[in-house]
Parts: sequence; C-alpha cells; structure tokens
Amino acid sequence: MPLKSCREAVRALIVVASCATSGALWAEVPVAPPPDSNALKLDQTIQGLKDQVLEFNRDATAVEQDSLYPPYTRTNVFLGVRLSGMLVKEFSVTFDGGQPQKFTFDDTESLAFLLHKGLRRVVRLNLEPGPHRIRAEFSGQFADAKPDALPITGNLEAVFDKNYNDTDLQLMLVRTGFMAAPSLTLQQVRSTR
Amino acid sequence: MKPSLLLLAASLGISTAYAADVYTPGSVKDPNFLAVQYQTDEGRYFSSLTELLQMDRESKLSSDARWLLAENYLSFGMGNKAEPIYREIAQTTNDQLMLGRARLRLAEFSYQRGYLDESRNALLKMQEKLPKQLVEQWQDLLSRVLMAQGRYNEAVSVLTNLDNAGKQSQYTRYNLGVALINDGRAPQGRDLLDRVGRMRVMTLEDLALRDKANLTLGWHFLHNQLGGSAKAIFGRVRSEGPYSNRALLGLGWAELAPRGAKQEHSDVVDPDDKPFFSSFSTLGVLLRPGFVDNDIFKRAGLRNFRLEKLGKTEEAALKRALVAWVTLINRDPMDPAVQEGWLAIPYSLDKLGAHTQALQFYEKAVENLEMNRKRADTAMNSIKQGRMVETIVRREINVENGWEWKLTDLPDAPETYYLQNLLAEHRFQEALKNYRDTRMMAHNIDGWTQRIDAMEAANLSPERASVTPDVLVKHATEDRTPTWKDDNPPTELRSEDTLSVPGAYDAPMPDGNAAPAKVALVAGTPDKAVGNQEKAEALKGRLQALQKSLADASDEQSKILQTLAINELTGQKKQIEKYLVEARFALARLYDRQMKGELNDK
Repeated sequence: MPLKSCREAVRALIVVASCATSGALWAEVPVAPPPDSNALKLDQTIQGLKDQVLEFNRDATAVEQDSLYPPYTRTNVFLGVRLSGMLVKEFSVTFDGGQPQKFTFDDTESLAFLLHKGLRRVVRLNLEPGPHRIRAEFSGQFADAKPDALPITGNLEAVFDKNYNDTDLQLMLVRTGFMAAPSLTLQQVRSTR
Repeated sequence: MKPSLLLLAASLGISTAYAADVYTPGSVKDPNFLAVQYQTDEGRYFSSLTELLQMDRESKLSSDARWLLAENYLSFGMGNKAEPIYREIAQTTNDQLMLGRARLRLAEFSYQRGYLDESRNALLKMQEKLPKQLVEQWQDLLSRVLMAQGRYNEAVSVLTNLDNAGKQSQYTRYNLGVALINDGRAPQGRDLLDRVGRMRVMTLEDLALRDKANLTLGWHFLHNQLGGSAKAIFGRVRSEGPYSNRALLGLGWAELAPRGAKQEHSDVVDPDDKPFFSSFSTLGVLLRPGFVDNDIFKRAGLRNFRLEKLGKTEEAALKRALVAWVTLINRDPMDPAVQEGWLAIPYSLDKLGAHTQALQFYEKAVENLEMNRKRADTAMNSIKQGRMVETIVRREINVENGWEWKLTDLPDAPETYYLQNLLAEHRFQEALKNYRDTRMMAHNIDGWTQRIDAMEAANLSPERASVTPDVLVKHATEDRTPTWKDDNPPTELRSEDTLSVPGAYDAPMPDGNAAPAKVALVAGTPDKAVGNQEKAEALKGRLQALQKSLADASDEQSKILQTLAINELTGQKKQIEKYLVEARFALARLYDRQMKGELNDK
C-alpha cells in the first residue's frame, strides 16, 4: 500500500472533518454518528481523573521544591525575549565559574518566547546566600534573516546577591538602543509576599 | 556583597544585576505567571495547570491568571473545570469579545466531544451578547451542532436568518448546502455546493473542500438520476486526491445513468457549459475527445471483440465509463471505490457484448476481493492487538497538549488504511485524545516514584540538617514589610526602670486574681509533626491509587477505540463480501451461458 499517499489522504480528510458531513458520501443524507453514551461517561471519569492528577502534581511539586530547593537557597533563572522576530536557538548559563547548563530550543520553543512575552524558567538551583557570579550566552537569528546569515550571539556576566528567600533572576534578550545589537540584561525580582 | 567579589567585578567590567523589582504574586509581573504563559504558548497545558494551581494555593490569582487557568483547563480537555471559571469571569470582565471567543471555544469542545445538547444550549445562551465579530463563527458552529442532531431546518435558519452569506466561509457554505438538501430544498443546496465546488483555492485545505463539495454534489445528482449534471461535477475533482477514487467511480456511473433534465438554476454548470479551470489535473480531462475512442480497450488489456447491437449513444457511454473505471482499478486495491470498479468493468463489458472478457474480469475481481478479505482479517487481528493506536500514542507520550493535540501522521499498520475515514471523525479523535491523556498522566505519575525517593533522601541528608538557625531566622524575617501604616506608628519601646528585680514578685496574688493553673490551647496540641518527610510519605499512597485509576480508565478507553475500529472494519469487510457474492453470482451466470453456448463473442 502506498502509505505516503494514504497519510496525505488522511491529513486532507482530517482537515475537512470540520464539515459536519464526514460520513459516507454514498448516503443521500450524510449524518454524523450519534455520540456513544459510554464514551461520554468515560470522558467524565477521565476529566475527574485529570483533576486528581493535577492536584497530586501540585502537592508533590510543592513538597519537592521544599525538599530539594529550600527557600533560603532556591534560585530561579528565567529567560525572556523582547525582540520582535528574534528566534533564540541556543542558550547557556553558568554560576560561579561552574559547569555551564546548555539549552537548545526548537521552533515551537523559540516562538513561545514571542507570542505573549512569556518567560521560560531555564534553571532552578540552590545557591548559598551571598554574592554570586552569573554568565549567560545566547545564539539566535531573526525569523526573516537570509538562510546563510551568521547567527546573532551575545553574552552577559554579572554579579548578584542571593538573599535568604527565593531569588528570581530574569535574563532578558533586548535591544538597549536604536540600532544596538541584541544583548542580554539581568534583573533580580522578588515577591511582596 | 563581599568586597573582594565587588572589586573583581569592577576590575573585569562585569555588570551587576539591576536593583530588585518587586512583584505581587499571581500578578502579570510575577515571573512564575510569565513562565506559565510561556508553557501555555508551548502547548504544555498540563505543566501550566500544575503551576497555576500551585500559585492559586499560595496567593489569590489575578484575573489574567484566572483567565489563563480556564484556557489551560479547556486546552487540556477539562471543559467541566473551565466552564465555571469562564462563568465567573463573565460577571466582571468588560471584554465581551474575548469572553465570546472563550465561550465559542468551550461550545466547540462540547460539540467535538459529543455533548451536543450542552453545546447547543451554550450557543443559544450566548446569542444575546454576541459580539459582531463572532457572528459568522457562532453561526457556523451552531449549524454544525444542529446538523449533527439532524435538525437541518433549524441549521438552515441559523445560517440564513442574518442575511450575511457574503461573510460566511466556504466550509459554512458547504454545510448550508448539505443542510438545504437534507431539508428537502435541493435546488438551493445544489446551488451552494456548486459554488463551493467552483471556488478559487488558496490552500490544500481549500482544494480538499472543493473536491468534497463536488463529490457530494455529483453523487447527489446520481442518486436523482441526473447523470449529465453529475458527470460535469465529477469531472472537476482532482485526478489525484483523497476523493478522486470515489469521483472516478461516480464518473463512470454518471455515463451510464439517465442524463436527466437540465438544471434550472443558472449557477449550476450544465454538462455543455464552459469548462472548469484549475491548475491541477482534474478527472474531466480523462474524457477528452480522442482519448476515449482510440485505445480504451487496449489500455484495459482487452483484445478486440464484436460488439452487441447497441445504440451508438449507449456504446459511447459504456466506452466512456470504461475509461474512468480502467483508470480506477489501477489504484489502491484496498479502496472500496476501486473494488467496486473491479465489478463495474465486467458489467460494462458484458453489456457491450464482450462476455468472455467480462468473465475474465469477474475472475480477476474475485481474486482481488479475496485478497482484500484476507487483508481485512489481518487488519482485524492488528486492531485487536491495538498496534496502530499504541504506535500513535507511544511516539508522543510526553506531549501535554490534550484537546489541542492533532493527528498529523499515521503509523504503518495493517489497519491504518481501512480506518482513514474513522480517524477523521470526532468520535474517534476525541477518544484517542483521552486515551493519549491517560497514558501521558500514567507516565507522569510513574515518574513521581523516583522523584519522591529523591525528596525523602534530601529530607534525611545531613547537609539539610546543618542549616544554622541564623539562616532560618533571616529567611523568616528578611524583606518582611511592617504591618503598621504611616498614620498608625508602632508603639515606641522604652526601658522600664521601676520594675522589681527578678524573684521579687514571688508573693502570692491577692484573692480572685490568681492566674489559671493551665492555659488551654485553642487549637489543641498536634498529634504529630507534618513536615516534608510526612508529606512525601502521604504522596506515595495517593500515587498508588492514581496509578490504578489511570490504568483502568486507559483500558476502558482503549476498548472503546477498539470497538469503533472493529465496527468500521466489519462494515468494510461486509462490503467486500457483498462484492464477492455479486462477482460470483455474475460469474455463475456467465459460466451457465457459456455452457449453453450463448456467449457469442470470440
């Protein structure tokens, strides 16, 4: 069987499935099959189960964070992109000259930075209260760049004070001035709690 | 900051972090909220929900976060949880457009899952405050729900009452066409399907829709003995596409069906009307002049034979039908249209007087159909083993996009081909999504076994115990905002030098002023401490219970998928067997005539 053509055919069928009549065209009156009551009952059960699993994850994550990342050492590093059309492909972060933690982003991940200005939590680690050095590097390219264009790269080195509570560091890829090259900035934020 | 590190930073030109900015937990400035937003945009709804629920427990969620919570619930296939949040948001929000979009999405979820009454009620309820920008979307969805309920007349009313046909999508027009035909208003329905069948296409989806409209209209004409009109319509379908085989089959039958009256509506293309232009090759070119007469019998692998005494028109029609069917039988033998083509060819040959050739074709048809019956049996066994579904699920086990998940590729399994149509239906797709979700969650829960072990190990580690009280005090007191306000300054403390020295106030209190011997604690004393270790232990019990529930739900969902697939394949197998009976009956008839010496072709 030519599987490729079969796959293409199914894709096209799925596309037009939004039409109400995805049943047999032989029939004079194509009607979508009625919903099965057992299937609906099971859907309700599964929706309930999803709720339980989410609650379990919420509780377990809270205990895990407290156990593995006590608040007085917990440090979160977030990465954001505030440059329209900039697709970050690679990123690495190092603390106090240690081993760098490297990340590669696929297209979905790169685009997610741009859609609603979200932040990606790239690292959660334990650092003793006091001053620390952070070094971050990025590599990326604008979506409309020519295929043979060299990647845009940059890095940042900074010192920050880890306090006795959750420390949140925001690394932001921005352009600091008109015509300036994309660069990283670091901001430390804290909760009012 | 340590002076040495500051000095180093200054000498290396290293920057320091900007001064710490303050955010309210759960607000749009909260990096945790922005991280949830990122996960949502990535399609990781399960992770987003986990974080949002954690934020919700720690502080009141902002309205933006509540909104995101509802969106994520719905995207993860939890309409039951999303609906009350949307309802709550509706009380306070002024953004009717955003709310309208959310409600439409919720109604679409209910429709696709099969909760047709709920979907219909929700759509009718939102009609009053429906923003103008959403009217067409609302009409489209409500009409689909009504059509799924068989309420064609109401569906037509919904799509036509507002007199906004110019703004409706081609999908909506297609549905209106079908609804009109099913409601007994065939001329209007045909007109609409015809327009969709002639639309200018921009995308592959448009092409598929155009072909589908032409196929539907073509078969509708055939059922109504309007072969002439059907032929022109089938001729518009692309020669290679998901509907081309069925169109080829129809094209052949259209040649043999009564030509029928010319359609009255001016918009419907007459067989003799102007040709249909397209940059894609369409089936109409098969019947171009010269292509039929020259070599159709040669292409069909038939040697010359003497024709029955047929009218010239009938003979020409049979020849043209053969053109379509000879093309058809060279295609995928598993397609029911191709199988029917195997029977249609000898039927035509028999009519043309080529009885021996017809007999040979029937024999080939039986051979092909038998082979297909065996394939169907293999596919049936494969369905029972759940191979196709298992392959689909296993390759994206960690994908968390729940209801938003789309089937974009198919595994190479024996049943894949037979289930193409079923795979495109909501009842199968939604069941598959639920099955995927149960498997993903089971995988997630299984993963917690090791993570809980890691928590327990961390809780018991000596490093954890070595935290100095000083650190804990600083953690507890750092960054605490004083509770008083400017207009209510704190009580000033002053030293008291008139108090007695310790021990000087041991004298008994005057009567009636004695302190109670015991102070009763309002909350009572806790039976035991509930620290992280105890919490981790409690999680284990919940984990086991969830593992069992998920396994049960997964099994049940798998059975539903299997039943749907088996029913579908059984239907196709019955069709093959029906064709086999027809082929064998025709063969017996021809053998009988051969025995009697009635087959006069040589």
